[in-house]
Amino acid sequence: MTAVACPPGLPLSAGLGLHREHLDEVLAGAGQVSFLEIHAENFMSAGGPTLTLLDRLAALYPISLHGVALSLGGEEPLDAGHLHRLRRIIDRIAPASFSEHLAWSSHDGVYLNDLLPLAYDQASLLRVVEHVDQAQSALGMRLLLENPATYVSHRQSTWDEVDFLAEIARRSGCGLLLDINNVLVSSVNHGRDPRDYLQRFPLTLVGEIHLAGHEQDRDDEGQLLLVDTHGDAIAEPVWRLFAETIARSGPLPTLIERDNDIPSFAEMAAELTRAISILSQHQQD
Amino acid sequence: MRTPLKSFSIAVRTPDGVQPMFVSAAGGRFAIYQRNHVSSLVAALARTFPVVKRLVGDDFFAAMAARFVLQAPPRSRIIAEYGGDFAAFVAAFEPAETLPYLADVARLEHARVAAFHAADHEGFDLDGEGAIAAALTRRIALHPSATLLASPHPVLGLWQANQRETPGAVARWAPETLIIHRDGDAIAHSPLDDFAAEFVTTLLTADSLEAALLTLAEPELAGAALLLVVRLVRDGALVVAPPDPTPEHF
Repeated sequence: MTAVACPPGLPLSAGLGLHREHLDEVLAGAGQVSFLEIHAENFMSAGGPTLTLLDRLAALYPISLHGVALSLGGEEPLDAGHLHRLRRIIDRIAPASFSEHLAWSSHDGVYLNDLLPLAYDQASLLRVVEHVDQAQSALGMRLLLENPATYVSHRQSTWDEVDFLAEIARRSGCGLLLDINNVLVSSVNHGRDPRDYLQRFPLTLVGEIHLAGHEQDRDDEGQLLLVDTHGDAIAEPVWRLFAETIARSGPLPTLIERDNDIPSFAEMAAELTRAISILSQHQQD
Repeated sequence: MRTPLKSFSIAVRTPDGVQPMFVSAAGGRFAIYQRNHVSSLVAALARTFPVVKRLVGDDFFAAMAARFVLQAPPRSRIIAEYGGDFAAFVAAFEPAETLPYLADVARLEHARVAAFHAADHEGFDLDGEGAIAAALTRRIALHPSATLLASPHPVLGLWQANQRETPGAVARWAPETLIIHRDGDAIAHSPLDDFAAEFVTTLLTADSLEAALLTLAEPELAGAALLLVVRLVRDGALVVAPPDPTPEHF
């Protein structure tokens, strides 16, 4: 593992995913927003107003830079051009945190625009550790790796997901991003117990928590299926799992995430307030 | 070699195809990935091409865009860049051949998105006679944000008519040439009349501004041509290229 700088980290409070629809409120400093999360790929313009906006946001809030397209779980080498574009953003705004996914999204030069599941086996482990190591070296900072939401699993998987994430973190020195909605979605879809998953999750490595909404559906055989749409309010079971987790870990930087059917800023701010209230109940002096 | 992720990737891009053997998923769950792949990219195209979508209707657009996604998936991980080939696809898409202007509307819309994200350029203003004299020996180029679009259709008129809630009529049904570019933080259209279109086309391939002026059939047009260049540079459509580097060694 290459030694890399540990970024300052996000405040131990609640933040919001940035959306164009809320730009006025965000720039005016409305609500109790402690940090902003932005999708790195939305700020990779060569010039123009996007970069001006990026500078303004970074002057107002600690930034969580969240990548969706690095394809850390892919079979192919990391895209050097993409790493370079990420580094440009990092050099420009010095984000408090950078995170990516335990997933893959590109193959044969085609970008599939989705976070796809990988096999949890020895070959994947070595590959992901190497990719995380390369990314951290190229970006000059430690990254947080996010647990995925999945609908299918690979038959050749030999590792449990929590153990797999913990081992990647141990070998590469990366931190983890715990998406509690993803825990619930994957647990229901694969018949696992989300509480067992969370109890085994190495909370000391968690640099950020994600809370989001999902949709309930039925698959072709009538089985309950949760779909990670990020298009709904945060579900009650996710709030409960969040509160139980925070009771064990103490306050952690917590993001209210919504990517589709964006509601009013007020509706997002209400979820933010609820997260802050749960975090403050477990404030450690 | 068919690696597991290669098979997975091909299966994702083959709607109604079978899921890879190595994936365990009962209940048709693999189809979620197939649907996400197409629908997320159709949605991305709808954001870039809202007027094309309006001209053909939601259902037609969704079907046309889905066909494009499967035929020409993104090669870039920056989704805002996706759709550079969409206009050419639309031009060859038989069900849309009754709308011969559709592809040019797509070209205009893609040029607007490209302009928004393009690189900045340190300006060389053409204010004052001194600056103009200095520019005469320089090459004039499109600003990094700019696209020159020459259409046999009223492409800008069609775009403008579809900005209103109820589409208006196209004022004048005639060929249109324009430059789509960034002006400050906004996206601008600089329409070019016949003279301007012809001169700009010459200018962009000429060795210098002076060389382009010398091609004018009537020398008295040089004044109008210079005013045009000054205006297009001021508005951010054109730039004065830096002088060719002087060789350090002879």
